[in-house]
Parts: sequence; structure tokens; C-alpha cells
Amino acid sequence: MNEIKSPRLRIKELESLLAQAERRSYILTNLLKEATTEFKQALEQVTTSEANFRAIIENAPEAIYIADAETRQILDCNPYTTQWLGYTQLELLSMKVEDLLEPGSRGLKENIQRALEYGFVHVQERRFRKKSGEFVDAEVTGTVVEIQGRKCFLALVRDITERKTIEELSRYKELFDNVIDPMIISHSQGTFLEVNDVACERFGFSRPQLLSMSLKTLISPVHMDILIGIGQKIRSGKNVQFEVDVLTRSGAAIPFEFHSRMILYQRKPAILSLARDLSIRKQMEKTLIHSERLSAVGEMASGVAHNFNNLLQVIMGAGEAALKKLETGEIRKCSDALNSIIDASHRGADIVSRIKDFTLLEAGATDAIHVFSIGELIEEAVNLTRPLWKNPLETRKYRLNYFRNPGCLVEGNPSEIYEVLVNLIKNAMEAMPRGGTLSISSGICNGRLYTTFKDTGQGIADENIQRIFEPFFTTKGPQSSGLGLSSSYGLVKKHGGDIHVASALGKGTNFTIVLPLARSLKRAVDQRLSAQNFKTDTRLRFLMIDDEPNILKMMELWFEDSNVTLYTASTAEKGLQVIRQERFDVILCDFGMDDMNGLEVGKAHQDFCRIAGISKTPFMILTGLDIQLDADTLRGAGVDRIVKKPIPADKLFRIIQEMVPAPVNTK
Amino acid sequence: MGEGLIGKLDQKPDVCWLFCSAQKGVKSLLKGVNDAVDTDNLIGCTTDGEVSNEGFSSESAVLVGIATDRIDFHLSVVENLSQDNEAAGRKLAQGLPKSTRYLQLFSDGITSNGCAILRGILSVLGEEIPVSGGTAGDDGRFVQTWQFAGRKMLTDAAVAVGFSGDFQLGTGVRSGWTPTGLTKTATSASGNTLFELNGEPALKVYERFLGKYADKLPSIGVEYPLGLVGPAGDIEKSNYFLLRATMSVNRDDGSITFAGEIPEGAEVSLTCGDIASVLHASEEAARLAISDLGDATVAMIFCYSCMARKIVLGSRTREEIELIRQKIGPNLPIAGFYSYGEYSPMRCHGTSYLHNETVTVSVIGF
Repeated sequence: MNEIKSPRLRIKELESLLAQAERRSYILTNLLKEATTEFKQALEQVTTSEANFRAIIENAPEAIYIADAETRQILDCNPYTTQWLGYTQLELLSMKVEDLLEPGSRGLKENIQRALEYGFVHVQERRFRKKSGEFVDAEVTGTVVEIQGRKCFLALVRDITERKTIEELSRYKELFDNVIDPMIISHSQGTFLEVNDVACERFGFSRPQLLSMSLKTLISPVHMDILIGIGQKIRSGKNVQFEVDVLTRSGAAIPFEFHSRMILYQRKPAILSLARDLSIRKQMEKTLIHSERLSAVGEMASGVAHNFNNLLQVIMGAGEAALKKLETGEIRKCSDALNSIIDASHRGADIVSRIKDFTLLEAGATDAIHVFSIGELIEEAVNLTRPLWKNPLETRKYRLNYFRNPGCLVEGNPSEIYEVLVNLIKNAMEAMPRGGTLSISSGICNGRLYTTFKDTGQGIADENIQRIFEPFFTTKGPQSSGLGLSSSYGLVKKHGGDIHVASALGKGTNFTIVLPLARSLKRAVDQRLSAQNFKTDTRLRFLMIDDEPNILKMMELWFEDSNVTLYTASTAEKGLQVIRQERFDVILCDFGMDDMNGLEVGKAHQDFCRIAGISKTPFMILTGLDIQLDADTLRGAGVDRIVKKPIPADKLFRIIQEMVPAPVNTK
Repeated sequence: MGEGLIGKLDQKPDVCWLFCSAQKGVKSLLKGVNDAVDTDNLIGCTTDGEVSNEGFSSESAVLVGIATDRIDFHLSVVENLSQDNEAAGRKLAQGLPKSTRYLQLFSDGITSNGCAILRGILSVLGEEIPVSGGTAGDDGRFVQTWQFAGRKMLTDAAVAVGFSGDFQLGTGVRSGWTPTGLTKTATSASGNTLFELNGEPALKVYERFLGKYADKLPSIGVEYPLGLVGPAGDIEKSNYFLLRATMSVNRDDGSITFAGEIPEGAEVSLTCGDIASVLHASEEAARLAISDLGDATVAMIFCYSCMARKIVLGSRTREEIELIRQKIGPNLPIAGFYSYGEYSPMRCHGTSYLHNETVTVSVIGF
């Protein structure tokens, strides 16, 4: 509704409208000016940052591409991508992301989905396929960008081939360097490519030297033929194990056990070998056997005691009988009784020495080769192991049948065979935890002696029968060293024999030892020669120093009727006194005396002779202990021989004869 | 005047609105009306222009009454706004029954912080309760405004009438101003005061735009109000921007105080409007109100507009009211006034805000 206004009012209105319009245009112009300036600035900034961004993308040493988040079609990529993958830009723009990756790459969709949700993707490792078909490992990370309303995935890809190689190598290197055995990587033809420090140390060559060698040049020529089949086996993919002697720089041949297999080294086939120093292991084996023996002896201590009790019984009884017969004047019977005492003592001495041999490591100390009766040895072994099968509470638990067969004589080291017998009896008992019967018998066939151990125990499974003689193989759990049968096997083989085994699970096992019969039936008889046989014209002056009066007394009695004049001293001091005053042909001194030991006496005697300017008398030490003294120590103490207790008097007599140099000076 | 009203209604009204100029005689006017209508539910305030069935008028008084059995009306009053606007708002809301579905609010246009009062009310009655109304004015003098509740004539107070019952509501708001130029950030602001824009003192920025007209601040700021264009102001992306009119400037610290809160960190832009766009907005507001109402028949129109629009429109101010009436229904009863700040939701079921330089139209229908 238009009202009619007065012209004045209208003019006023118009004027104010005009002013308003003027104001507006002025203010708007100002706003526009400011907006333009700001816009220009913003445009500049955008252009610069655009240019920077472009520069980064174009020059980046990484592949950068943008793909549609939904279709995964590649929309754009930087020059590096084309260089790296080998496609042209056009080709890439026609591909999808999955076309770039190794076929079978998983998780592509999920990753992009995750990126869309969180805005970025964690670093992922992927294999890309170049146009050439070659695969490369790369790390991909990405983020989501929006381009013209479309959600796109911007990916940055870094080639990590080099890094991976370095990583792999460093992993290898650590292992390689820290392993405690020599480790070698060699060409498939054999030349060494890499050796660890331990190898250089152990073999005694520097790294450059070793790297110019191959296994052929490292090992003893004796074992060259072992290598022949090995190479082929390794190349066919098998893991091989072989023992060879390595010739170290110093010329020593050290046995090593090699474990070798095929590996990929710097992407080419190579051989990785680990060498185990066997000398150490052999040492360990010895120690293990020794400690086993000791524990076995410990177990059998009661058996030993039993044996001795028996012998002592004989000695006591015979002694008493001898006395009685002496009174009644039955000299013959008295003589018989005394003989049986001597017999029993010999037997006792044998048992002691056998037990000692059983625990000794050094083969040198037990190299006594005898002809001996298997039967006697078996009897002793049976006695020794008695506690294993004769439990006074369960007398019916075990039965041991021993079928004696006289005349089974074997030549060899009785202690070693003894060990084998003990071991087999032990095994048989262990195989019959709930009781059973062990039958031992011997027989001769074709000049060979067959001794069979037949038990009714749990038997041996077929798959294990091949392995029971392997060192360290055992089915008895961790407390067993697994060395019993293997060492027994070794000992029997040493004697030119063999061990056979037959077994049925649940029924029992048969062990048969085969040994060659002794060539001569002549038995090594203890020469119990009476003192009369040895009477000579020359009288020998023999000094014996011992703090055990009984021993001295017995010696006096024995030597009474011989050509040896025995002088005795009951302490070291007294002995030395006598030495200084008188001259002797031979001196025997006890080792363990209260005031001085035999060595010290020997030294004093040696010094005295030197100072006095006289030639030293032969000096022997008598001891029941197992002292192992080296030649230098003995020489330094002036000791010429060690005599072991107990020593039969006639043996001592012979030794004295041997020790005295002819002619003899009698004072 | 009261008798005249009763005559028209043929009965005692259930609720009355009284809007009048703050010139002399307000006290006696109030008393007289109260005596005549004899209802406790009398609510209103002083204004900067009145709206009635006669259209736009100034330096006048308008009395509106409703008699209906479909709506219950409750009054609530709170004083001493300036002590704590938000607490006052809460107290005001607590004075209304829980069944209140809609309320009209009139607060002191000079001392109150409308945004804070609204926050208080919404915290008690819920975020979705529609609030219409405006802040009381005093013919542009900015000296003192009055609020009426029953027989009481209050200042620095807020009065509210709550509607509960069976009715429909439609609201529409539009301003007609559009953002011009690049947005800036209110890097330092507190309450109604803006200190810095993009790190520069606000006054300095304004002076750059206004150039030689800068000394006409704050009044010229009314023609070019600040629009909150960022998420703080861009309400539900319906292309509507909350406007803020300049009230005063402080040449010492370069700050500008507005008739509504400026949140710190908000994105703002200068806005521009002319008569054509302003009037178009009025029409649009009316159209929005009707479409918001839906199928119901309009029974009553409330129009709360801003005195800033009066300044811009000048003598064409009454065209605004005419356009609104034409749009909704020329013969429907209409009431309202020109205020220093308007309360209205964007639409029904939306949160209510304090607007500046905006025309708000609320229609009640059944």
C-alpha cells in the first residue's frame, strides 16, 4: 500500500538511500580489495607449495603413485615408478595396483579400506613385479587423498632389496661369528667363501689363507676318498656328516666331524659346514667312561667285599689249619694249607688289580697281555655283580646259570674282557627289572670261543638293534651314558673278536661274544720257585725300610734261607742312618711312612752318595698306592724302580737280582 | 485499552502481551491494563517499535490477548540478570512446568546476555525446546528498558511465558545479509566482546573496511553486521548465518562489543545487505514459518524483528510486516515488536539461538 508522502520526505528518503548506496559501494570495494590481495597471496602460496610438491614427487627416489581407492586404477605416478618397474607412464595408467604386485598378494583391499578409515596405512612389505618379470621387495606406505571428489590412495614405495640383503647377511653374520665351532661357507665346488673366526683359530690359518683353500687342501690326504661321494650327496639336497682329520697349520692332524648342507648364499647355491672337534669329544667320552666305571665300582663295592670275605675266609681257615697241622706234625697237610693261603692271596691281588684296571684310563698301565681262562674271568664277573642279582630279600627274583666249560683260554688283556663281561651281565639285569633268568655259557667252535649271555628280559626293538653299539645311544634315560656297549664292542674288536646280538621284544635278548682261542694252551703260571732254586754264591746286601713291622718280619723269614742278607729299618730316619754307615747292593723303601715318604728318602740317599763321591745304590720304592710318578720326578729323587704292593716274595727276589749290577761289591 | 481487548475477545483473556514504547507513562499504562484484564498472565516489555494488526507502529502500545482452552499458560520471572545471566536463565526455566512445550522470552536488552540466558533455560528444559521472543528495547536510546510480569514493572529482568497443551508451532528466521569477503578468525574474544581478528585488533580491521566511514561506528556496524560463518554460526548448513550487530567500540584496546556472544576461535565474515534482500528475507521467514507449521491452521502470528532492520529499511519498515501478513494470512492476528536481539529456533525441533538483525516469525496453529 503506497502512501502519498510529501516531496520533502521523499527527497530525504532518497538522499538517505543514496548515501547508503554510496557507503555500500565504498565498503564493498574495500572488502573486494582486501579479498583480492589475500586471494593473490593465497594463490602464490598454493602455487609455490604446488611447485614444491611437484618437485618432490618428480624427483623422489621412491615410487609414488595415486590410485583410485575403489577401483584401484592407477591415476598418476612419478617418473621413478616408470624407471623402477620398467613400464611407460601410459602403460601404468592403464593398470591397476594388483597388476604391479606379485600374483597372490593378499590384503590389498583390506589395506586400502583401513587407510580410508584411519587415514593412513602402516608400512607393509610387498613384492612388486617389474615389466621384465623380475620381482623386487619393497616397503609400501600410503595415505588417503581426495582428488576431485574421489577418494584416492597415495602410495609411497621404497625398494628394499639392498636392505634385505644386508639384513639377511647381518643375521647370518651374527650366527656365523658367534657359533663356538668352526663354520665354513664354501662354493659348491669346494673353495671356501666365508669362514668364521673360530675356524681360523682352530685350524691355525689366517682368514685370507683359508679363503684361498678348499676342504680338499685342508684335510689329511688319508681321508681324501671320503670326500668323493660327499659332494654329490650334498648337491642332491641331503645333509651329510663325515669324519676327517684336518691338517692344521702346525701340521697336527685333528679329527673333526663335519656336518654339511646346501644353502643359498648371496642368492647362489653354496655349502654350509659346521666342524666339530672330535678330540675334545673323545676326551669327554673317556672321562665319561671313567666316571661310569667308578660309579659301577661303587655299585659293586659290596660284591668286592663279598669276594674278599670269601678269600679271607679261605686264608683264615687255611692259616688256622696250618697251625693245627704243624702241631700235629702233618707237614704235608700244613704245606697244603699254606699253599692255599698263598693262592687266595694271589687271587685277592688279582681282584684288586682288576678293579684298579677297571677304573684306570691309561691304556698304557693295563697293557698286560696274558693267556687267561674265560671261565675264571666269568666267575669273577659273576661274583662282582652279585649285588645286582642277589637281593637277600628277594632271593627268587633272579637266577643266574653259569655253565662252566673248562679249557676256554683266550689271549688278551683280561681286565678289558672282564669289563665286557661285567657290562653284559649288568645290561642283562637291567633288562629284567621284574626278575628273570640269565644264562651264561661258553663253547668252542672252529677255533673260536663263543660266550653267550641269554636273558629273559624286555628285549630290544628292531629299530634300535642296529644302534645299540653306537656311542651315546641309550634307551635307559639320562642316567645312562650309552657308552657301555660301544666300549665293549671296541674292546672285543681289539681282541680280534666280535659281538652278536639277537632279540625278541618281550621275550629276551642273546648277546654272544666271539673271541679267538689262545694260540698256545700254555698257561702263564706263577713261578712259585722256592728260594733254593736261586741260591747263588754271591751274597746280596738288601736294605728294606718299612714302618710296618709285620711286613719286615715276613721278609726276614723268607729271605733267611736265601743268598740275600736282609737289613731292616723301621723308620726313614733309622734307614738313612744305616745308609750312611753301611753300603748295600739294593735298597727298598716304603713310600708312605710317618716321618718321611719314600721319595724324600731317595733324594736324601742320592744327595749323600753324591756328596760322599760314591756311586748310588739302586733304590726302589714299595707302595700299595696308585701313584703315577713321571720319570723326571723319580730320577730327581734317585728312585730307580717302583714296586707295587702286594708283591710275592719270590717276585721281589727276582727284582732284586735284576736291580743289582754285576759284579757286586760286597763289604 | 484493556477494556477494548476484552471487548474484542468477549471474555477475559487467559494471557496477555503488552508491548509499548519506553516513553513516559509506562507505569500507569501497565496499571491500567492490569486493572482491566484482571489476569495474572500479563507479560511484555518496552520496545523499539511495535507490531500489531495495524502493522508497524512506533511510540505506541500494543495489547494482545488469547483466550483458549487448548493451551495452558504459565509465567516465570527472574531478576538481577546481570549478576549471572546463565543462572538466571536456569531459575527462569525452573519456574515453568515440565509440560512446557514452547516459551516466549523477553529480557532486558541492555543489561542481559541473551546467549547465556538461553543456555540456562536449555539446560533445564532441554536443548530442543523452542524459544521465541526478543530483548526489550527503548526506542534506540540505550538507556533503560522495562519488562512486565503481571503488575510488576521490572528492569534487568527476564520474563517468560510457557505454553503447554495441544497446539502446533512453526518458526522461521531470515536476515537478508550475506557474507562478503574472506573469512577471518576471532583469535581473541570474550562474551560479547571481540578483541582480535586474525591477530589484529578488531577495530583496526573494521576501520580498514569502513575507511572514511569508520568513525560512524558503532551505528554503521548495524548495516554491516558480523556473520558467524564457521561451524559456530553455520547452523545446520541451511545457509543461515548467525549475525552479530555492533553495539559499542573501545578505541583504547581496539575491541568491539556486539549484541550477542562471539565465541573465541569462531570464523567470521563481514556481511552486506540492502533493502531488497532484507525485505526478501522477511517474506522468506514467513514462508518458512508456515511450512514449518505443516498442515495446521494458523491461529496467531508472533513477529519479533530487529531494530537494525528498521534502520536499514527506513520508511519501508512497515513493508516488512505487510509482506509477512500477506504471506501468512492478512486477516490473522499478529503481534510483536522490534527488539535489540531476537530469540528463535532455526526451525521447530532445532535449538534456539539469540539472533541479531533478524526477523523471526512464529505461528501458532491447531
